[in-house]
Amino acid sequence: MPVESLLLKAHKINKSFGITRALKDADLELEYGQIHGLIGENGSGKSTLASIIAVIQPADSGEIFLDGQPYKPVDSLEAQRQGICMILQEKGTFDNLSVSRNIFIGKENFFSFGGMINIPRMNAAAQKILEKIHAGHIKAAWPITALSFEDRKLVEVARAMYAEPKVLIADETTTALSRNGREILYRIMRDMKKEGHSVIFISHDLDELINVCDSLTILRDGEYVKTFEKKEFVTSVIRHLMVGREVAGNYYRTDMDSCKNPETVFSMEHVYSQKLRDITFDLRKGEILGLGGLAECGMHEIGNIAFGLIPPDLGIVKAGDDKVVINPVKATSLGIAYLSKNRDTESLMTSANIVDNICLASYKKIQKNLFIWNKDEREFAKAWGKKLEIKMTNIHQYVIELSGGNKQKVALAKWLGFGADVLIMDYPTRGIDIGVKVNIYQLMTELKNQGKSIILISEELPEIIGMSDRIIILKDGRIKGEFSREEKVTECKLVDYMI
Amino acid sequence: MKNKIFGILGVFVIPFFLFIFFSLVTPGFGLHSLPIIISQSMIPTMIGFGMCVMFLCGLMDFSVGCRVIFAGVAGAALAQYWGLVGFIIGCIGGSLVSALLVAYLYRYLKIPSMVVSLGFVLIGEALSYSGAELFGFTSLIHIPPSVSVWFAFPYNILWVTGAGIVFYLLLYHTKIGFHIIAVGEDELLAKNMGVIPQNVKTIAYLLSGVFIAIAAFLQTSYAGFLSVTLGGGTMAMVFKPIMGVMIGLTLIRLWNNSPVLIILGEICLTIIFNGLIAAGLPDVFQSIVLGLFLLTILGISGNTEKFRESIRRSHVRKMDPAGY
Amino acid sequence: MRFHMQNSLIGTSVIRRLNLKAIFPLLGLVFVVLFFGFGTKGLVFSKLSLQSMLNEAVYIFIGAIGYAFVLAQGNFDLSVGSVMGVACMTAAMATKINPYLALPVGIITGSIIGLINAFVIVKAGVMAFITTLAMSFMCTGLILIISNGAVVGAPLFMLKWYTVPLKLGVILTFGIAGFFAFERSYYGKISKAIGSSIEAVRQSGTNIVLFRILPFIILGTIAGLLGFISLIRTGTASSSTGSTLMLNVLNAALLGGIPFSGGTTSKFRSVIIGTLTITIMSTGMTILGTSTVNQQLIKGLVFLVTIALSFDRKNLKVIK
Repeated sequence: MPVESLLLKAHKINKSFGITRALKDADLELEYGQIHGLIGENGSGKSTLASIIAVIQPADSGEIFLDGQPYKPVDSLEAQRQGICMILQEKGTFDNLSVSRNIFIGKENFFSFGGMINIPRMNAAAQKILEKIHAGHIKAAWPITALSFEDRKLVEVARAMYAEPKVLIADETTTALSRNGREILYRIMRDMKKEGHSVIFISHDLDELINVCDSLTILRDGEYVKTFEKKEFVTSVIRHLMVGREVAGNYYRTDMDSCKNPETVFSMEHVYSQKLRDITFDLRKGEILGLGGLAECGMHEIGNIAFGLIPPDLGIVKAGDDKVVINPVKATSLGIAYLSKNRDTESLMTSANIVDNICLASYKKIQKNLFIWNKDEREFAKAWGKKLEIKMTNIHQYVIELSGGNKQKVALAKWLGFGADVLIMDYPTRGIDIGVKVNIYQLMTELKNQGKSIILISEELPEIIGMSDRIIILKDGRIKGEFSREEKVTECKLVDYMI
Repeated sequence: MKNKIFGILGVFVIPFFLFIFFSLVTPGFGLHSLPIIISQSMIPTMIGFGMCVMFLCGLMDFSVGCRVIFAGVAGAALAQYWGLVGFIIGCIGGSLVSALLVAYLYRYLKIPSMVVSLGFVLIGEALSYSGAELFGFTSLIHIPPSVSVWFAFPYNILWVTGAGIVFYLLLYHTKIGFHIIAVGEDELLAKNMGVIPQNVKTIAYLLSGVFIAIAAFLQTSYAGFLSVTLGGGTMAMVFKPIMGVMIGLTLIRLWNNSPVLIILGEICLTIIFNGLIAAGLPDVFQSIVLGLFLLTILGISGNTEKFRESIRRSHVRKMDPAGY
Repeated sequence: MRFHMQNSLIGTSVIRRLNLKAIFPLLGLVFVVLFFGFGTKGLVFSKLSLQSMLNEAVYIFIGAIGYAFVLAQGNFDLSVGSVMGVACMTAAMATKINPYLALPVGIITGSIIGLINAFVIVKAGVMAFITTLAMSFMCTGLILIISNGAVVGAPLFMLKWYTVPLKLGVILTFGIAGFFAFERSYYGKISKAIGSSIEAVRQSGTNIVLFRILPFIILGTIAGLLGFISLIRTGTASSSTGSTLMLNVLNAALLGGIPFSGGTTSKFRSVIIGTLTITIMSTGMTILGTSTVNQQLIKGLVFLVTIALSFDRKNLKVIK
């Protein structure tokens, strides 16, 4: 559509974070008076695109047009002045300030007189907006800590609406809201529509988007896929486009048998924690157990508890012959390894070199009579680096310079060098290119064949389906379903259990 | 409303209680100790206000003691020429200059504020000492009584009340106050909201300088002289302020008024110390008691989270899993 | 020193920065040698001056070795000087019972204080800065209590123990032991790793608590030893013993190139280079007649500049 007839047009937006390409020539067209949904899986780039439009972060390249004119504000405040406001996905309120102060942070000049703020006037103005968005039950003078999470989100909504924006971007806002809160938001959106203004609505709840939106854009892996108009909305088609990928050949395991070994190497019994409820499962020798679910279902916590990083409130974590895991030291002594999903901050020392990282868990092995010789370290690291085909300039290269995939290989090398029997891998292929992903899958298969056991925690369903002997699906901290490899379960079926 | 009144009254209970306790138990301690206690609390309170502004902004600054001395030297130097007016200008000027120095060192060296403050203590002490020599003082700096009388009892109460009001208005009624709190809580979020953290932090340093200046007035006038030391000794000046702030702020749920809480916290501390001294604690033991106190208070306040977590866990264990 | 010739993703400006970080300790040493060499007209390298430097170097070198482990973990300790003072005092008092008790008493005193530091910092989680600051304050008070403000003397014959062979022997022993501990032992490797990323070490199954406690205890013990050495060097213990130690030792480690944030890039040779630099600087300044005030000023500036140069900002997103 021609630029002039669109309220907002984003054209060929590119954005990379280091080696990861978050957006590849992404497009978005927003008409006047439209509620436009933006949907995609984790990592699809929807939040990145939205924050670029709101000038929270800059794009690497691309153009944006507002009302037919080029749009290039210097910062988010100017973007707001031009009429684009965003409600962030993360927490956007300050605990130590009151409601009205949270609403007007950064804009206090409207109420100040010689540096002093006219608080009654600010409170009155805040109350007015809260009433306007039908959230009058929140009082402006209250400290924000007195509010529920939902009400705090509504305060953020009030803040965004104060500027009477032409484009409101709501990034996963409804996730924090209950029925009432959502109704409030929908009403605001409809009011905006009446005035010819528009909303970019980001959510992972497809049903909600289908109900509320006039059109829907799908992003996948940072690329624009397709835009649907309301009359074209078909849930299954949209879902398929969200997740489906051109799978060039099958790069997961080729065998279709689940693990038949009865020996249990690891188990969790009736584990409870802040997020988890009655988690009980076991892991057999030579088995790949996939844990899946929505991002917040608690599977990452299971990983933490399994390795002993967090003690469970109730329940036991056991390894092998009934030895209890209480902390990471015990866990590793029982042959358990853990690869965190926060690779850079938790499994690797990015400011150190490859040798130091690979040897980190194996010093007891490498040392000879209490001495750790450089030569031994180097050979150890080189051997494992070669085995995993890590692409590096030399063994002394700093890990921070490696690509995501190679970083993960370093972390794996560390544990393989250590000789772990049970590996807990949390989202191991996050942000990794296809080539290295295939490597890692091959490695996992090899490990399995050697009799090692793996707990694979992942938000990528194809990966879980492709690699696991058994799949456990979690929802809201509970185990909702268990499937074996032979059942050849589909993504759609799993998604049903997840949501 | 009733709750609020009880809260406000409740805050005064502890100092009152402590005073009565020591008056009854210790000979040599009584109503006559009151002026001394108030005077002795005022200086740590001012330093406490200065440090509090920094804490709120997310910065750690142990150079506040050194800056008090620096300001005091400047004030005493100018007092030689211009009397009372010179003293005031000197203290304020010296305090602001040293605050700016630390602020810019922090801003442009880009290292943690704690480290900057340590480095500045060394530099600042040296500068103060040289400055004192330059103006004809030795290591003891004297202030003429005509000047110091304006900052001694009972005028020091006025100064502290004034400072308390300024502190209160600053935090709760000004734009910069909000920004300081916001930056201290979540710098990235504040940046997204259009606040410029670097500028806010520099201003926070300057504002702490205002309170340090008042501390310099009081400190220099307290005994009529100021001693300038080297070797990092000025860092010990932060112990009492930190403790007073921590003690005071634990009661924040009763009354959300930081300045008053800090003042009362310092008073409590001074009562305890003076009480112990009256009870026979030898001078030399004071530093040990002070140090132990500080570590205990910090140890407890730092671990309240862990404590709460273990209580939560033990509760959970007692509950029936089905009803969890 | 490893330089990366390859086109790294981060760009050449970082490579240049890495070079500066790697070279400035040597540059500093060269500068100091030249500056004070010419400034004192060669006096700084005279026999008398060299003897004095040897005395200083004993303290600084050994102290810096202990300090290196603390720094490598990204921590630091402000109480070293005061602990040395207390240990010296207790050793002096111990000689009144039996001169041969001085060494063990001094060392044990240091270890105990180091242990207290360790527990408060690691177990109670109080910041190292304020814990060791408070500890140093308390130690100063302790010295006064034990000595009643007087200067305590040791039996004169103990002064004869302080010979050149002893000094050289101590330096050599600690140098070799320190090198192997820092660069070739499990303890050294883990300490540095903790500085680089404590979470990564924790998630590799290492007993973090133990390794975080050790450096403080060892540093305390070393401070205790230095207290004893001070006693046999001067024959007295007073409240001013050890007052300059902390700053000199810290600066030595930093000037030698150990980053304030610690990590795997910390090297033992930094201790050697740094000790040389600080010793020459200290002695040179004394010969030049620099006042105590100005010495402190210069050391403060050196401290700030060195940290600014070597601080690892890569891992921090914000907030200082």
